[in-house]
Amino acid sequence: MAKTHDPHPPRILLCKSSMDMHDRGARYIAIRLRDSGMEVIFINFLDPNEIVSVASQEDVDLIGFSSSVQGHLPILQKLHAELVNQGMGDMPLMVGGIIPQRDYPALQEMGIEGIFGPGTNASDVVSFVRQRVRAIQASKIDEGHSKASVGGDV
Amino acid sequence: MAETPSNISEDNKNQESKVGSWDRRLRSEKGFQETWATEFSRLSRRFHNGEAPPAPVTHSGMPIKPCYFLTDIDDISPDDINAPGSVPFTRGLYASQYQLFPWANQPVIGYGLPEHTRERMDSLRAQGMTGYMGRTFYNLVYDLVSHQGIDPDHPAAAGRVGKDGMAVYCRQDMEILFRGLDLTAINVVHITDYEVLPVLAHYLAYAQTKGVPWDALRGNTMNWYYISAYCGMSCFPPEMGKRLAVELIRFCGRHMPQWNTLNLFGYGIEEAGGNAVHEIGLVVAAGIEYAKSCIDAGMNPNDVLGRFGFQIAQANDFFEEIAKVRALRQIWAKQCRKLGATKASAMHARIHTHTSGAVLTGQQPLVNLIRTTLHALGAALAGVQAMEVSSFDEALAIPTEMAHTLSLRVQQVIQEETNITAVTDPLGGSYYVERLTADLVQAGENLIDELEKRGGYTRNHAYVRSLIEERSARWRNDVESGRRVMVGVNKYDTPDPLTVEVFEVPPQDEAISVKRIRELRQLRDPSKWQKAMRRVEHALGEFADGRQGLDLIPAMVEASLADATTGELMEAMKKHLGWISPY
Repeated sequence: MAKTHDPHPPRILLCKSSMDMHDRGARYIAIRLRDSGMEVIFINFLDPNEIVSVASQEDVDLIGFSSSVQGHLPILQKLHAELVNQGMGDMPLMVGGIIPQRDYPALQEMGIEGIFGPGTNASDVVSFVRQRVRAIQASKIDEGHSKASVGGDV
Repeated sequence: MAETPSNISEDNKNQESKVGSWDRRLRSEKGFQETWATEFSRLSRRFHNGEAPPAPVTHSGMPIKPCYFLTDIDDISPDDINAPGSVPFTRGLYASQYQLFPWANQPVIGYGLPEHTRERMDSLRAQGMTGYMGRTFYNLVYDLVSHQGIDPDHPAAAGRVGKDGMAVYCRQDMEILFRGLDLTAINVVHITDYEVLPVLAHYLAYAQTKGVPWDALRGNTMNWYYISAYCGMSCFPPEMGKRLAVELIRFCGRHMPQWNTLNLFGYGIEEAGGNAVHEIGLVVAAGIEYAKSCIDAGMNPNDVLGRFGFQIAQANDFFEEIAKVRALRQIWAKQCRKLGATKASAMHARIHTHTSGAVLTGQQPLVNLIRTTLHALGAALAGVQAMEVSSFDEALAIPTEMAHTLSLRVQQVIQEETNITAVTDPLGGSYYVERLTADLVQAGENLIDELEKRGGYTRNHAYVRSLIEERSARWRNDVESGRRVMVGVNKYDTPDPLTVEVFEVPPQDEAISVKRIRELRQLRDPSKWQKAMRRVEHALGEFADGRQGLDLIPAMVEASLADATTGELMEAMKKHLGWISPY
């Protein structure tokens, strides 16, 4: 399949705890995102603050968080709080792996829209990422325009 | 009967007539096969648009035929098949299979505080979980915090305490876990990742406080540092890991002769996405290399190899997975002979089956009971020594008590209701199974040779990873395109009216665990602890310098007796030996 060259391909950070042996799903998602023309950074973290510093240094557009071993809620809460702290509260997050239904309300409260449990079709993840990144890029451009027009009025 | 010349010539005649009848049988079989082929083509033309249907392949891509005949196994050496209990053990390790010793029920157990894990151990035992000779086997998995080599009050442990395993971090936790159990009457499998030595030290220290001699202990340590090639967790550098494994094997050879020292974890290869050939080829290659290192260090091949065991998946391609187990036994026996083993028991691939979790689904979870029953049936027909049957809620969480019990029932129904255990290697002689076994032996040996050519397993983690990852992606692409059917996921995916209970570790366990470890540190004798930790540091320093690590385990036992924790011992190990990100 011919790929069109995107001068600003979306940059995605995929992360997984270094305690979690299960990386098959996350690595597959990384391959699929790369194959669809995105840049993917994959890290294993011990402390969630590592995710935030990589996200900031690498200027990523979206963070994908994989967990197949439970115990992800407190870590995601810490991650979310740290993102807000660092002024990156609007960074889109998606979560995949073994995510029980009972966690959905807490995840949605943190603004996490993409929740991908067992049996997810990777194409759905790819289109979610593309749409989310496109929406953000569009809103950034809008922001730029409105700033410019405000400037013009002064 | 006296041997007279006339008797001998009669024997010769019998022999000749037998050979004649074999030739006749082979000739007839060729005729039968031609008739079948003609009929098969006719049906294909009629029902498949005039074309031959696509040639079938196994899940690992081995070409197979729509039907097998005697002619398909004619070239296999009878010595390679032999009899159950005879080298190379293709048909099974023992002349008697399950008639005298049913396979051991070995469900994986472990969650939350040690007392919670103990409750599940007792509940499964009460449900009939049985090992060999009436002993009980406890297959206990440690939690993520322990795997990471930290203590529960470490900031990164938040949320992970008692998850995916039990929160056991010190000798006192062992006491809670095993209170009242006779350590000499049970087998304990400690499912650890790289915290192998600290955990063994806690167990040995606990045994010592109970007055149980170490050489009376039975069970397993995983010792599986090599899995860092395909499991995405922080780890010791591969060469260092191999040296640590050798030290444990040496220690057990001297002090714990009944202990199983190395678990060859094919299951992890399958779960990471590898196929049947990867599973047997890679895990044997790792085993050969660890064995060679022990032999180079002066150990006797019979002693070393006799204590190795395998943990192997049973996944969806029913016959290929059976043939895989038979092939593994043959490959391993031949390799062990090459390594210098002379005793039969040192050529035995003792196999614990862990039915595949990766092929189970979160959708329509009860369907998983059907899948796992087929997996367990396959393992029984292949003749394995022990089984863990994944629970139907595997893709949702660790098992509820009900799901855990049902998994045990799967084993019990097959063991006690189906009469499958009456006959040893019931599929032996099946044209298809024998052909596929021989083909898998060949493919597995080719992969072992390839790794050997590349300089061995330990130097080739990247290559191992690439093989598995490439196949994992292909498998998933096939699921997404519908080429590989997953019932409930890409076919028959109607909404499931049933909701199943999803297990949750008691939320208060984490705080209790943190409180306990802090109390332990406060109450222990600091000078005793410091002295013991200095001995550990000294042993690690010498070992890191390339010397033998004879004092590693004894020093860690002293430290455990002085109330050192897994996190503290692992911190010392990481400092001296290095601790790296997963590949």
